[in-house]
Parts: sequence; C-alpha cells; structure tokens
Amino acid sequence: MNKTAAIAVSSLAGIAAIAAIAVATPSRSAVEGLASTAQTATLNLRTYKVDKVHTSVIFGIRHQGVTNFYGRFNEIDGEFSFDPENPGAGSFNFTIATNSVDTGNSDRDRHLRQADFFNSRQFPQITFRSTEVRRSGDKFELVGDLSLHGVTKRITAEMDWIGTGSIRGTPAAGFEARFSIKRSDFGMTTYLASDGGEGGGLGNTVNLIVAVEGLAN
Amino acid sequence: MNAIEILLGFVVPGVIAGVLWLGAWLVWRLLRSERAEGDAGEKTSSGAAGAWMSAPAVALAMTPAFVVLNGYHWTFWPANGTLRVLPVLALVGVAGLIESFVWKIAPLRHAMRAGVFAGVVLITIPPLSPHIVSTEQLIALAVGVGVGFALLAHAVDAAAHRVRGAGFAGMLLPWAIAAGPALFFSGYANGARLGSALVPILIATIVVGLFFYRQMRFARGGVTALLAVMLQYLLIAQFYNENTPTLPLLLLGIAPLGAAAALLVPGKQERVWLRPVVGGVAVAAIAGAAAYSAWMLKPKEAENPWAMVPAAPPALAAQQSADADRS
Repeated sequence: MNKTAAIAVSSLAGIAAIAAIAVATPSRSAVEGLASTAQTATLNLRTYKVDKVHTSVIFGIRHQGVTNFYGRFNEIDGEFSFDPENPGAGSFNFTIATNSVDTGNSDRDRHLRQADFFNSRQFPQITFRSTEVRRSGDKFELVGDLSLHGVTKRITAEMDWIGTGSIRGTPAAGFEARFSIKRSDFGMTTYLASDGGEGGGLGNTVNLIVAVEGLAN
Repeated sequence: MNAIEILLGFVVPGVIAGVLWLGAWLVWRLLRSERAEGDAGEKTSSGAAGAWMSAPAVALAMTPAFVVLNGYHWTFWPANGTLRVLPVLALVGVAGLIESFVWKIAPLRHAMRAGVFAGVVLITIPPLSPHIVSTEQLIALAVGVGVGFALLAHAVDAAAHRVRGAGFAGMLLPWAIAAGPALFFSGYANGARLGSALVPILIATIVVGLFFYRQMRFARGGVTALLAVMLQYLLIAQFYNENTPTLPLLLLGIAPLGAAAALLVPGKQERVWLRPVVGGVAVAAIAGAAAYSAWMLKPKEAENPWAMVPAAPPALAAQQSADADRS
C-alpha cells in the first residue's frame, strides 16, 4: 500500500469513527430534554412531613364475634414523598407510638398498652417502611415492611392518593391507605380464638385506615 | 373461652401431669420389684416414686396450656419477652430433673435453685434493658430474686418432704387458684390463664397422690419448678405492665411459704392429715390476700373524657326544652 492510499484509508476510518461518535452522542437539545425530565420528576417528588393534627390512624377489630369496635392511635410521625406520575419513586416512612392507643375507654387503653397486647414498654413504636409503590387501576398499591410487637411482616395497602394543595402557603398533600393484618402474625394472641379465627374474645383480623396529611418540608 | 380452649388449656395439662405421675410410679414399682428380687428378700428402701418426675411433669403439662393460649403461634425464643414461656419451661424441666438427682448435695442443690430463679429473670427481663431496667438493676434483680427464691424454695421444699403427694399438692392448690384473679387484676390476663393451668396439674397430683400417698413427693425439683413458673408471670406483670401494684404480686410470690406452717405440726402419725390442713390454710390466707389486694389496688377507671364537658345548667336545659317544644 502506497503512502496516498494509506492516508485515504486512515481518513475514511477517522471520518467513520467521528460519525459513529456523533450518532452515539445525543444532541444538545436531547440532553437538555432529558435533564429537564429528570428535574421535573425531582421537583414533583416533594417530601411531606406528617401533619399530626390532621392525620388519623384508625383500627377496627371484631369483638366476641358479634360486632366491630374501633380505636385509633393519636401519635404518628414520619414523612412521605410521592408523585402519581412516577409512583415507583415514592417513599413512605411512618412511626406510631403504641402508648397513644385510644379506644375511648381508659381501662381498655391501659390494658392494650400492657404485656397482653402492644407491650409498649418493650415495643414503644410501630414502624412502616415502604419498599415499593405501584399503580393499581385508579389507585395505588403501597408495599412495605410493618414492624409491630417485635415482628416485621411485609404488607400491601390499597392507597388512594387524594391530592395536593396549599395550606397557608405551604404545599400539602394527602392520601388514605387501607389494609388488614392478622394480629396472630405479629404474636399478639390475647383473647384469640383457638382456631385463629374471628370468633374469640377479640378477632384475629385487624382492619386499618391510615389517612395522612403532609406538609412540605 | 370455648370447649376446645378449656380442653387444651386446663384438661390436657391435668391429664399430662396425671399420666406422667402414674408413669413415674409404675417405673418406680418396676425398679423396686427388680431390686427386691435381686436383694433376695433383704429390706428395700421405701424411696419415693417419681421424685425425679415432678419438675418435668410441671414443664411438660404447662406446655400445651401456653401453646393453646397463643393460638398455636409461637416460637421458642421470641423477641417479645412476655412470650418467652417455653425457654423457662425447658429450664425448669431440665434443671428440676438434675436437682432431683443431686438433691443430697445441699450446696449444689441451693446453687442450682438460685441459678434457675436467676435464669428466669435473665430470660424474661433483658428485652426491657437498658431503657426500662438498667443493666445494674437487671444484675441486682437476678441476684436478689435468685437468692430470695432459693430461700423460699428451701422452706417450701422442707414442707414437701414432710407432706407428701396429695397433701402437698392440696396445700398449694389455693395458691394456684388465687393466681388467676391476682394476675388478672394486675392487668396480665395471659398470666392469669397460665397461672390457672397449675390448678389442673395440682389436682392431677392430688388424684394420683390419693392412691400412692407415701410414694409421691413434690420435693427434689418439683418445688423449684412450680415457683419458677409462677415467678415468670410475676416478673412480666411487674415489669412489662405500667403502674402495677407490687403488693399483690409479692404476696402471690411468697404464698407458698405458708406451706412451711405444716412443719409446725408435731410429726405424729395420727396427725398426718393435720399438716396439709394447717399448711393449706396458711397458703390460702396469703394467696387470698394477694387476690383481694389485686382487686382493691387495681387502677380505677379514669374519668370518661367525654363526660368532662359540663352538663347544661338546669335553667338553660329547661329553656332549650321549651324552645324545642315551641318549634
């Protein structure tokens, strides 16, 4: 191969390499577009802190197999971040003080705090850490680890994202989640029927509603 | 409580205890007859049937009561300190069995008992340490309870040597009966049910002991097992519950000491029935005081928060009623 031919081959190879790099490299506008999308997602994924005053944690349980009675926890803390357009990036972390249980009867509340039920001295908190959020029709499924009574179990809650707004100039958002647990799964078996069903002094299934209002940090 | 719970929580423990006692007695009879044949008519020791069986009998009979109480959901070593019943039953069963074989070596016997009672503390209380019970308090509690209950066990064991079989179980029956209300009014319903499971175990002992009175003894491990089982419920009620009055639990803890009153009765054969009566009355008095004080001292129900809103004055109420009638 003479010198001219070698230069020609080298030039063609160089042009091909430059073309390949050019094709592989996104245009400036494309890069800007991607950055903009990421920024939008980040902006929409605002973190909200629980507004304790306007947040409710309500539970219901069967009593003697004949009726349901309800109670609530008065102390919940935590934060969440969520964008309905990008649910997978959402995060929900909450803690509930077990000694804040309130059923409208002080005797029963004291008993619920003690060794027979929540064992508040050893387990002062119930915690929830989300692991996954996914769309399910017009609602969402909130999957996470619930730690209660020294036992951690994965639960799935049906979540209704109620929306966002502004309260006295502070961005706010809220949702309502509903789920059920078997209290026997968490080692809470006082007054449980021997068949683990709902017919004991207290049923096994506990239905929970967690309605949270959050204010932007 | 349905029929199955009653069956498994009360009847089954009694049946297990009764079968184990009878089994131990049969083994003793077999060994005795073999020894008698081997000794070719020489005098054989009267011994005591199944003295080694008393602690395992208590532990094995209590197990179904605990399992049914927890709806068949249990693990051997749960994080929850209030559910560590099976480790304590295993400890008292094994340690009581060993105690029955080394009971003649007094220092070892006392050390073993103290170790068992301290072990119950160290199984039950550590989940509360250090945030409720400091490490120093935990150590002091283990040592104090170990030594204190070993002394208690020594006194009760002495009564168990003097009052055998049905008599001794009968003396402790009021204690087991009183445990239910005393623990329940102390805010520990599970402990009340578990403590009550000692009732069928003692009744089974009484029934078997009526037939084999002189051969049955609850000494040599059995006393340690009974006290250690109850100790765990006392510890849970006192430390895991809030604002639990100590007096009822203390009285329930020392109530078996009343059995030592049987030792005050002179040891004549014709008065053999008097010892369990005296001991039983003493136990019943202390255990009854425990149940009564638990009832009296239980925290009173607080004001209904909804009743805190003052009622409308009569004049205003009458005015509102009249307004309602006009409208």
